[in-house]
Amino acid sequence: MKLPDEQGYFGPYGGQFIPETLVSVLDELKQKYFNIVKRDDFRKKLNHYLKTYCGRPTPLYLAENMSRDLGFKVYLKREDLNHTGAHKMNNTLGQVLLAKFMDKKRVIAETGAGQHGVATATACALLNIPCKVYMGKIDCVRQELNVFRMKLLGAKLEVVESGSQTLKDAINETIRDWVTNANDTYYCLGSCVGPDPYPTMVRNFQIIIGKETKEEILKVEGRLPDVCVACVGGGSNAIGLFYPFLDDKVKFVGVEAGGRGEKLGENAATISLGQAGILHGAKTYILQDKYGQIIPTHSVSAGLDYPGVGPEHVFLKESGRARYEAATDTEALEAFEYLSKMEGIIPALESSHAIAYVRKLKGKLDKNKIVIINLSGRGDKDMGIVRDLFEAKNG
Amino acid sequence: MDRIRKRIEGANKNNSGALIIYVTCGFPYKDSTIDIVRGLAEGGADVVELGLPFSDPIADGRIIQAASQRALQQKVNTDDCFSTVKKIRENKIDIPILFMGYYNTIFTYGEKRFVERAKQVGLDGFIVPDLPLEESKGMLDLLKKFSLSMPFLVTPTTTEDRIKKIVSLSSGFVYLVPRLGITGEKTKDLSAARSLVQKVRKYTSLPICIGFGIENKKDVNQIFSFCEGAIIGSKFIQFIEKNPSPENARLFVEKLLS
Ligand SMILES: Cc1ncc(COP(=O)(O)O)c(C=O)c1O
Repeated sequence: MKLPDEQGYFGPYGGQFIPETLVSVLDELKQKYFNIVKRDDFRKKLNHYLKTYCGRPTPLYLAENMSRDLGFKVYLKREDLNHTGAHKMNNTLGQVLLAKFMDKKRVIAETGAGQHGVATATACALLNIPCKVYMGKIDCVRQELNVFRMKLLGAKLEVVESGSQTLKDAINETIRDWVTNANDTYYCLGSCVGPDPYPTMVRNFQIIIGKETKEEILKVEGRLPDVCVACVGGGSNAIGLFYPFLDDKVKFVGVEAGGRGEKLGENAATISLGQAGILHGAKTYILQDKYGQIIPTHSVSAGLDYPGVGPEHVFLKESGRARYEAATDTEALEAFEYLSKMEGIIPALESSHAIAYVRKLKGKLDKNKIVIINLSGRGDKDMGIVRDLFEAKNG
Repeated sequence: MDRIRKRIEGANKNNSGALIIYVTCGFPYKDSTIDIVRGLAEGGADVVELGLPFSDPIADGRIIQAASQRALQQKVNTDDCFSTVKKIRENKIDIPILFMGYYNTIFTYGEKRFVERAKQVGLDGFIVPDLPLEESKGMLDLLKKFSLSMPFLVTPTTTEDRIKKIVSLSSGFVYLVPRLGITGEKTKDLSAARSLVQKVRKYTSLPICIGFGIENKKDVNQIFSFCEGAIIGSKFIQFIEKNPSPENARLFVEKLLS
């Protein structure tokens, strides 16, 4: 059965838990989205930009040194080579183009690390539509270079000082803007979270990752991989890789941010450690206290630092189709250094979590096994943080 | 017996309309709420909406966000809110009280346990701004069983088809939002609400009350001229913060109704 169902549910997860003002806005979005993505002129235009602007298809690279070290075949899906340095661009090009086709007059977006904000600002600059990005005050300090990038790209930045001043509050504030300007504003959400149809729409714009991967691996190996691994914040790069393999005999592992440990508030491992609840318009797993107050999270990688997760991942987890593991800050930093030295590729801290998990499989898999890691982004944006952490460690 | 509806209808028979005041439970101090509600009742308010503090209130503006945050910092939780209502009733204050809370608070507590406890302590109903009617079946069944009320919201983007469904499932009153947006910012033009009220009126005999951005006596009087109730939240929160005494709460209401 194809999911989600009519009401936007993946099993018991998903749906629309939103203020009344947004109900008809989401109805319109859902209807227009499904019509517009079928249109030839839309698909042609999107494919054109994905190819000539974003740099797709991205290569599938056999990581030779890493394969030798770990004892099985490791391939990296090079989403880090996308324009602006991450898979985020697949989604923002799709959504901002959709906003244009829907005749919306402005685009708003939230951002945590700034990657989605930069990718939205970029697509808006390309497609000539005003853009406002909401970003938590704490994240603005952590990621000041991305703040500068967004401004350079012509976006208006709105610093969010409410709540915990991080990604979840940036989303709250973007939703409030949307409720206030519902008629002419398009909300470009950055992951497969939020109310229906966002989890489906974002997934569908990211599916290109898995589609290309499937073609590429069949071409070089003549067979499907054994395992696909991706980091999970909201889960968009992971679902994009997994989805085309859903009906195949391929194992899925999503890797969440284990942060400083399993204590509540010390990590962002929502599927591993959270419970069912409602956040940002969807029923999903969230990190919360026993009264349902959302807990501030921690991860060394701002892009995984979110107390919710896409409802489809919760469904995949509960149905046993996918497994979810956590990698700690320390493991991710070690993997960051490992891939840099081993392959000459500096990964994003988010993607480093997926690398960290695969490193733990050393000696545990047969040498013919094929593991594909989604290298969701590059590490340029993390240079400042990582340098500070290394300097602190080495005195 | 729908105490809320009865009270609003009574206020329209005997006075010019019903006044509903919102205040966050446990604001500004954990023990302020009983005094505040007492003052509101004495001043002549008809219904109280008690806000359940939530960490991520997406339908609220800065003032109510901050009030919620402050209550949470003082460790006000759902059980505290229930005991507050219980104490209000033990103090013989019988003004109808609704909880206004986000759905995660209810879901996490357990819908059934939540509604049972509400009945037990003497609450009259709920407003849940992020629970559209499509997701509300479980709550509606429970409310019926325990005779509690749940007004749904109608907004300027609500289609006529939805208005029909919304009013048929609402109880107590219909909560009409006169503009797009969140709580707090002043609603400058109430005339647009007038035509929305007329649309809603076609499908229901329930009282209609207007909230979001209602600030003063002039707003209230204007609202009373074309529907049954006015709801004030952010302005009251601002007013009561410095001096949360019963006298001060009473003063606020008396001024509005004088
Ligand atoms: C490089 C990179 N990978 C992964 C993520 C996490 O998002 P998602 O789980 O939606 O792929 C982010 C988010 O900012 C990111 O920048």
